[in-house]
Amino acid sequence: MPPINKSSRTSIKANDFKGSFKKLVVFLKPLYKYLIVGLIFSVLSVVIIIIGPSKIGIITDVISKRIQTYSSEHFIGFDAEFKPLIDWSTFALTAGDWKQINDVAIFLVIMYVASYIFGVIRSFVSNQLSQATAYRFRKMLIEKINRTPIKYFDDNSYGDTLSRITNDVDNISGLLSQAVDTVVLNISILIGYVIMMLGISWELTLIAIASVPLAGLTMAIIMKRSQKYFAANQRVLGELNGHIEEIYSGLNIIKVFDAQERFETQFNKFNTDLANNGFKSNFFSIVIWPITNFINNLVYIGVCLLGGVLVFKGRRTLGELQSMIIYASNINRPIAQVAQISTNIQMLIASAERIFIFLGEKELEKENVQFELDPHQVQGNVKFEHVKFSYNEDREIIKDFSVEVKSGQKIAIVGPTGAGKTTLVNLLMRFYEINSGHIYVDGVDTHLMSRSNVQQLFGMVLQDTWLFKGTIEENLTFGRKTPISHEDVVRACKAAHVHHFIKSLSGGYKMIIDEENQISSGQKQLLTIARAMIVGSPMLILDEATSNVDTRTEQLIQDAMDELMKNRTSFVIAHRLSTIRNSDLILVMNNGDIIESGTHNELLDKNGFYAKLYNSQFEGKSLEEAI
Amino acid sequence: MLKVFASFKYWMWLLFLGIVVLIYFQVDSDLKLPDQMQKIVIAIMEAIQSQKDPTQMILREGGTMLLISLTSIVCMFGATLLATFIATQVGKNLRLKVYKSVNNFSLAEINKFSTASLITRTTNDVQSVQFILVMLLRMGVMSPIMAIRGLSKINGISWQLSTPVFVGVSVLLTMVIIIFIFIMPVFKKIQTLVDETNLVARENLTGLRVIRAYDAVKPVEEKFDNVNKKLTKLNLNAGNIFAFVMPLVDFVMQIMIFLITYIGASLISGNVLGDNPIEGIAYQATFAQYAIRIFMSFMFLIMIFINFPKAAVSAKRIFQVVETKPSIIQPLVDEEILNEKRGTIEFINVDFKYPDAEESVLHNINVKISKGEIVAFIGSTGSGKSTVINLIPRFFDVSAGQLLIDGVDVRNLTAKTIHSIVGFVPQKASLFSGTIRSNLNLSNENASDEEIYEALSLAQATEFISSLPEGLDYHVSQGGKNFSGGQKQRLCIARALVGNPETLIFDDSFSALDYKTDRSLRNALMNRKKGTTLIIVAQRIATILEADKIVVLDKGDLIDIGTHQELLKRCQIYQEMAFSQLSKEELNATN
Ligand SMILES: Nc1ncnc2c1ncn2[C@@H]1O[C@H](COP(=O)(O)OP(=O)(O)OP(=O)(O)O)[C@@H](O)[C@H]1O
Ligand SMILES: Nc1ncnc2c1ncn2[C@@H]1O[C@H](COP(=O)(O)OP(=O)(O)OP(=O)(O)O)[C@@H](O)[C@H]1O
Ligand SMILES: [Mg+2]
Repeated sequence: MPPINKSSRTSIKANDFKGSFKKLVVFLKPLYKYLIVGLIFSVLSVVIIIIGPSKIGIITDVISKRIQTYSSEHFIGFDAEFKPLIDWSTFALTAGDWKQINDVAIFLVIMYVASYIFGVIRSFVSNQLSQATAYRFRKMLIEKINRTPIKYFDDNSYGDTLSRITNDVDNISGLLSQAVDTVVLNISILIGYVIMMLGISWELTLIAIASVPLAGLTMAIIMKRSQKYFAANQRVLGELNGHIEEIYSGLNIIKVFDAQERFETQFNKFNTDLANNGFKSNFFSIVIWPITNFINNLVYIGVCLLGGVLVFKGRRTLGELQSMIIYASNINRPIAQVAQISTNIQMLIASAERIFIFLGEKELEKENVQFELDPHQVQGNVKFEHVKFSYNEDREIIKDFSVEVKSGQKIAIVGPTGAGKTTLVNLLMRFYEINSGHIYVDGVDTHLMSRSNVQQLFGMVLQDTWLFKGTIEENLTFGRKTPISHEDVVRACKAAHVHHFIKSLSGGYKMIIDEENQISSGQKQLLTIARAMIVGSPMLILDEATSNVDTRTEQLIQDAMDELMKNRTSFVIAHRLSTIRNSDLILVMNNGDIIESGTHNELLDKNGFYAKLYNSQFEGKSLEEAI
Repeated sequence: MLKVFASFKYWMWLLFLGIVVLIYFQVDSDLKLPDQMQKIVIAIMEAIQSQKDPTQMILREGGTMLLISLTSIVCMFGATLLATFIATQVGKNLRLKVYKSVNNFSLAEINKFSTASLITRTTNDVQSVQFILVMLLRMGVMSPIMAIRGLSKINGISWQLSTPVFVGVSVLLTMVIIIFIFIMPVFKKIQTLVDETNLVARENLTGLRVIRAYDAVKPVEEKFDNVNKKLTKLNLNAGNIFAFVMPLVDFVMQIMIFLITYIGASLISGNVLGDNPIEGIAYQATFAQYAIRIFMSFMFLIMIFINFPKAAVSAKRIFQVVETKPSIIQPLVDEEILNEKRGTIEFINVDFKYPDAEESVLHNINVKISKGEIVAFIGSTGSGKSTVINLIPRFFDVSAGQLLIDGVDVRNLTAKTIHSIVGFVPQKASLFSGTIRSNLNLSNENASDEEIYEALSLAQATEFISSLPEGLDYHVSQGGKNFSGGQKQRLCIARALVGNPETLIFDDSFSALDYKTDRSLRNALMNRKKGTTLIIVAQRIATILEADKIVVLDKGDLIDIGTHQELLKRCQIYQEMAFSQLSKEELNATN
């Protein structure tokens, strides 16, 4: 079995950490308010984090001082080992001491409360930041889907795109706030410490912060190496999602062909891949923490060594060295914390990258809007002029197609399967852009109109029916721009002969239907016909619109449709020739070209392709015998 | 979530044991490290006081320190390796479990969950369980070990000093429990909304053409935006609850240290801590050190707990799928098939009601199909043709009555057997992404090219396949989007022919074919598949003219069975159908 999923075809270059990171930064730009507020409160929190311990130190200092004074006052002699003997029995802190301590205490409690409040604000803000980002990403992805040529989805699985909307955005909403919060806070702390250290000794500071570039470098190297696993992880997740989306929606067929095992093998491949990549990415990145830890310890020893020498030479005091050492070990914490969340950052970037790749996919050709046709005023003259088209470069489907259709005509297009009938509709609707030639509506080149304007002009019923989850009425009024009364909806349904069926449903027009079809194929087609009637476009395209509807019902609808299509140009594609017999013009297509045209009777008289097609239904065991 | 652990394989528990041991040693080294650092400082001081060059000392003690930290790292490496391995393997197994369960579902269960939700459960939910598992296996093991070590050190120093530690820890634990209670329902809703985003986005994708044709991009985007807003809002709410809590952890810790110092001061002042104030200060300092450590370990636990509700909700959703019993259960072995009954299908008093529907759609259907017969079903839209036919491959079970294949009740046949007997062409032609070959050999992976070409030629598809440059290896997009309706339909027909089944079912499967192709296809089937039972649902009278039996259905009732001529004479519904397609003149013209 060849690889099923082709998403890799389009993922231009996976794991471009820097590029995606930059894009993410640019993307976050409009949210700079959050970032700034977050930064301010980070700095405030940092001040407290750094000052706090020294304030607590004051309490200890007060006690130590008291102990010193007390011991000099209550010295009672030496013991056998010449250690001073002190009578501690009356030791106590004085009221003055307590005042000092209480002052500090009040100050600290206030600071801590403030720090808590800052912290809450900071978390609030970063939460806003990441949820706003996730929201925007989802919105942009959906909008992008609607701006992407249909061709893209011919080549890529739905599930993969869906994975970007759910799994990848989910990663961002879950990880971004944490990542931003941790990084901003810890960098602030780092800077705070460096400032404090610079106040003591620049030489030692230099050594102490040597760990920063070292740790940074190691992190960069490991992250660079492991990023490909993160990227692969998200990619495979997308592929897996694509696979199961397909399997879950085609389960019946898989069962009936007993192909579960085969698809399971495929699933296992993706699944194992995912587990392996998950393992590697996680592992590589968790490794960052212990390694940076080790570097920090090395640096710590370096500080001790150099500091020791400096003190030995009398350049620094012992006290200074001591605070320096404390800072050097403290500096470890912010680095370690950043290292710890590097996994999250990498996952984040990998997901962001997939989103950006999709957002960067080629879009529908830019519109060159010079004309706008008002749907209410349109005559309905349609002209194809030397239209050429191919889905892929290698196979031309429409070779040189020209035809002119007059306002109000009912045009039927027939031809063997694969002749290019549906393709023609695709072109008329501008689902795909033609390679060369022109299509005119009322003399206006559709290429010079906006796509949505062109699409407003045509109501259509497609070969495959599509309904969405919602009530029947919502489905019926889909796409309708102006409000419509319930009575009119019912009228259309009566015309399409689904009213009776809808009435028989438990909720009637309010019944919720969904993609998983609680209605028969023919009924679905009838609903989409009613929908096309309701939307009320000036022209109509019916592509095999009644192929699953029984002929009796079809005939009944036909009259309603003829009424509806009176004075409207309409295109009808059908294999069932009974459907098209009474058209004004029948175009017979083969291999992308028109080979014959005329009315039903003219064509039969001609005794050409159409006549053969028509008569082929009576061949074999002849009707004669049958009756 | 417990079920996740219950699903651990035994070797996972062995590895887990390994994690515990490794983390024990890691914690041990980590605890030694500050002491060693202190030793270096003391060494420097002593050296300086005694006017010796400290370099030697520092290098020696520093070496020891590096050794300790190396041990810690190696242990941590190992533990991480094992934890990640277990977590990703568990994730893998869970995905497979969900996948397999869904594969055993019948349409009834799939409709119950909705496809979109099943997809989310297989990927998104498993991811969040896996994510928490990595944390749980590392930090969840580390925290208690660290806490216990720390507690044993401070135990018995002073109950007054211990109080803030216990109060702090209990405050945190209560908080965690409260959050859990509050946030679980939020996450439940969040995951439902993820399902919904998935659903709406999927609709957008599958309906791309219709949406554009109806110029309805805006309303669809608005619909998505609604769900998106709801999801964002809930995520914000959940995040805001955390925003209150996370800084609280820091706050409680700072207050605790402060209280230890403050209470310590009054204890020292009252001469209660240690033998004398100097000892008191030392006690207080050590106490604070270990208190921080204990607290930190709880902080890790809390980090896990904060991510826990989401994972717990996901785990629940996963096991909902895994534990759902399919409504159609296969027997373990086939009941013996009687050879003389081969190729027959028999409906005996069959009633059928869709699950959750109020009324039954089929009433008392009795049809007997013998080997080699061609049987056609005809009837108006929604009369129940597809429903009848879908009972044969057992997409649903009859509500009353019996359906016999080869003389055996379908419920006593395994899926494998049924599917080897019955070839099925669905009403909605759909292919899987891959190649033409991979689609055609669906029922038999080892089908030879000759077999495939034979099927293609029967299905009248040879011509267009041979016009493709890659032939059988031509790429097929999801659903078969890169083929025309008729091409798809013919490929689906060929797919059913490849297995050479005894019985072939066509559910309106010629609707997208032009008359000529339809004609030659049926001729080919009749000439070259003699002895195969053919069951055909069709709307075109021409398609079913030569059927041995035509079954006329109306609103779920069997109206009549007979040949074309018989029905044309006596069955009004059938007459109407015939005349709606061929004018009287045409019927007469052939006379
Ligand atoms: N999305 C696509 N990508 C590539 N090729 C395509 C695509 N859609 C259609 N084709 C090819 O273009 C040709 C014309 O297809 P089209 O759907 O227009 O046929 P049709 O006349 O409508 O046939 P039918 O009656 O079977 O619906 C076919 O050979 C088909 O394989
Ligand atoms: N999954 C379902 N749940 C509930 N009702 C259903 C379901 N599927 C079909 N029905 C209903 O059962 C009836 C018979 O449907 P069925 O698909 O068998 O019709 P059909 O004869 O095949 O019609 P068509 O010619 O349109 O394909 C219809 O009224 C339909 O609405
Ligand atoms: Mg049907």
